[in-house]
Amino acid sequence: MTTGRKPQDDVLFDEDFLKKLEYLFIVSKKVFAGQLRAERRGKKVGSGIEFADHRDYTPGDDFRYIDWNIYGRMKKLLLRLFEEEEDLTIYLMLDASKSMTMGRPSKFDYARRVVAALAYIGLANLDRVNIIPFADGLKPQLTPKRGKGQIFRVFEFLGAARAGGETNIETSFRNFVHQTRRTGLVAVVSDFFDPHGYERGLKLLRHHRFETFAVMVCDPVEARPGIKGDLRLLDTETGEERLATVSPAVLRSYEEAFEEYCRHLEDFCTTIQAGFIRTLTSMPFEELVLQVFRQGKFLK
Amino acid sequence: MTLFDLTLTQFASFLAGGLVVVAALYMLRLRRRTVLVSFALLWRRVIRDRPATSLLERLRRLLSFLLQVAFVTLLLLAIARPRVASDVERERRFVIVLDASAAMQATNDAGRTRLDEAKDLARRLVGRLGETDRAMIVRAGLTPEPVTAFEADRDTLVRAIDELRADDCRSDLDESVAFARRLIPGNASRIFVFTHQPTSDEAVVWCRVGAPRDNVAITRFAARPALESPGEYELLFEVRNFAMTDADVRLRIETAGENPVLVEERPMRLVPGGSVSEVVRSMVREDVRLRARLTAKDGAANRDGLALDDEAFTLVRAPRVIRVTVVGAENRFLASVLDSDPLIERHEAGEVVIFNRSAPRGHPVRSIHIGLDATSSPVRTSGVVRDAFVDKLAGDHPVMRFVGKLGDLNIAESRALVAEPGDVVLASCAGTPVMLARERDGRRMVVFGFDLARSDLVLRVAFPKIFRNALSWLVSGDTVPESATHVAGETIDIEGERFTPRRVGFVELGGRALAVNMSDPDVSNLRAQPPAKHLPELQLAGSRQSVGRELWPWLVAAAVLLTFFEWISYHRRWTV
Repeated sequence: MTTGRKPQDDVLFDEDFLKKLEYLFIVSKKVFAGQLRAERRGKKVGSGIEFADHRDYTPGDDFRYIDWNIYGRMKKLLLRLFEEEEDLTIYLMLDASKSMTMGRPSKFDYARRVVAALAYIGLANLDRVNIIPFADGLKPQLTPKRGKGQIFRVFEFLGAARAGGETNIETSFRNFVHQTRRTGLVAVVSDFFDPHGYERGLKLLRHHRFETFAVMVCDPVEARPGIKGDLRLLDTETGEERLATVSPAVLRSYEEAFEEYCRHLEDFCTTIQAGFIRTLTSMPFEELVLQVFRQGKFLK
Repeated sequence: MTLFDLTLTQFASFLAGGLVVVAALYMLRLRRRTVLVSFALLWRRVIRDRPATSLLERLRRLLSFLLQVAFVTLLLLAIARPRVASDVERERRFVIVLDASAAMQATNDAGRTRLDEAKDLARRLVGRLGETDRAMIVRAGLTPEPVTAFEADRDTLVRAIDELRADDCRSDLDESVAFARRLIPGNASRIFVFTHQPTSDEAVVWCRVGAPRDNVAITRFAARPALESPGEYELLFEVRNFAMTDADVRLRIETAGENPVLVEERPMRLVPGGSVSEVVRSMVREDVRLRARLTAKDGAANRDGLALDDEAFTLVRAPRVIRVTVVGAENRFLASVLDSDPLIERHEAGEVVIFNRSAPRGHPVRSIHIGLDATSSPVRTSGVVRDAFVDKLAGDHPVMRFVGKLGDLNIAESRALVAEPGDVVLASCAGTPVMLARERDGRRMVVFGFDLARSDLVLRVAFPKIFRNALSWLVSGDTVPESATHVAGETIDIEGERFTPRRVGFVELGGRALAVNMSDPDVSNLRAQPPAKHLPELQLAGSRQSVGRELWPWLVAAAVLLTFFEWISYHRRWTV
């Protein structure tokens, strides 16, 4: 099949990768048996079959949904509400900022594979999968797809995605929530290295009732740089220069600061009831995906 | 502590300069390595940028700086060659004289030459010199030859000793010792003479090498034309036995070259101290080079003490045929002389013209004038001498050489010749010249003032010899070819050029071939040998044998160790 992908993307999403995805799908079905369904309900209350709740009648409501039994017993007009069944929409937010190009393999490649894996699981469950790259704003996104057959479109899209620009999570997510009417599950795959802060952006998602799951991708060198001496530190995104004499003590301080940063993100996600998982690019991506499953946030 | 190569001021100046350079290098603005980071904010939290221009920052890597300072200091100290003061004494100078005479080529039973032994001792002596001592190697050949200057470098001295070779002739050891004494006046005890020869100057230190050995030598080997037999040559050889026992040897004389032709071979038995001397005669048609070689009786190489005198060389020059033109009356005796000599050829245009009772025609370059008259004489005459007896001959002139006295030569009548400046009177009667030789303006002539028929010269044995000599002198200047065999070490004068051959064999000089032999019985006599005196008995004059160790190797080693330490500190990132 001709996909028009570039050679490096062939390596990124090769046959082996596809086999791993299928393996993940099977494992997820076994591990989460009874929880998975081909169709999952959304929160929307509407014109479904299954009773959900009552509410007071207001003029204009359809008389057919008035619960006349309640009225007979309690002389009160209450309207019967039914849970409306709809497809789950999964939004995979992929950080495509310049900082994601760091590391070997790059965090961006790793994130793309994770996104591809999550997308495959979603497509296989007949969920509507959106892939939305972002940096300092939203980038061209993959329109909702459903069904396993769409996975190659996903590969093609991810393969063509390029990282660049500064990170601005708040701006990106604000744009996202404003242009997205259908709520759903949002999985944010990013390093969360945003000089403007990630808190407002994540809060926005929760505020707009998106189930949120944060996957923090880090390079091992970022956690333990292993550099020493008189250096000129250059921020890959902002170009900010900083002269530093990195001594072992400074290095220890940095590692502590990095750990603190990650811990703060995790605490914040817990606070806003968002799922969180942190990974290093040295970890096999399939293990990461299984961890995501075990968190129970992504697959219900 | 004494610094040999630097004064204290110099050392301090260089050290200060070196430290300034090191400090300046450390003050240089550091070129930082650029490292890309994902999130500078994190680094900003942990790094407080300190200004890189502060002095403290520049000397932050104090350890590295101190290592460099120590390295420079050690290096400068090494260059200064420090030494503990008590070990230091004034520089001493020694002269090592090595005899390079032919006898130093004599070998011992193990096949090592006396020169080898002398070199070993000299090398040992050099090894015992102190660090500040200087020595000169003097080669005692025909003349003293200093082969080094006063050197402190032992390697240079040993190399000079190694390269030293002996001559094939005697040496003037006394002159070399005198030369050495002039070099270090008042320090004769620091002159070491390595030789086989006996002591001549008790003030210097004699280190004698070698031991008495048996030797059989060719002590004479020469060739010359046979005087009475033109066209032949005589070969003289002498072999002497300097051994304490009888010697059975074989002398083989052959032509030199790629295809030698045997000329003579003589087995001989020589008693101790005995010798065999013989002359053999042979015909010669052309120039020939001869080589005599002494071998054992069975033809194997002679294993005596000195190989140098087992060979000798000579060469024989073929006599020259002289073309002669006779003008005037024929004389039977003269004709007999000319016709009987195979080396004289009559010719219409001869190179020598004999005017017999004839007036000279033209101006021949070489001529003999016999029986003059007053009008045709090429020389001035002053009357006639009658019934005269020759009472004086110029016996040293080539024309009269080997002629004898001719005291009773009777001349009935002769013109009284007038000798002019430059003329040589060959014969005279009561002071009146009757024969003379003249050489003027490139022309030569021999003048007989009398008619051959009016004297009894033609009846004399010397008559053919006089004519032969006269022809030879006219043609080449001498009747006897110059000796072509020489002794190594003797000075040869060839047409004003002086040359002293030092090697035996054939040499080409001024277009002429010469044979050079050792031919020195004193050298060949290896029995005349004073007892050897070896170096262990010697003491280096002055004081102790060594003046202590220098410290510079340790300083260099310490500097090298420092570089290793800095290398480790760099890789362990202690200094970066």
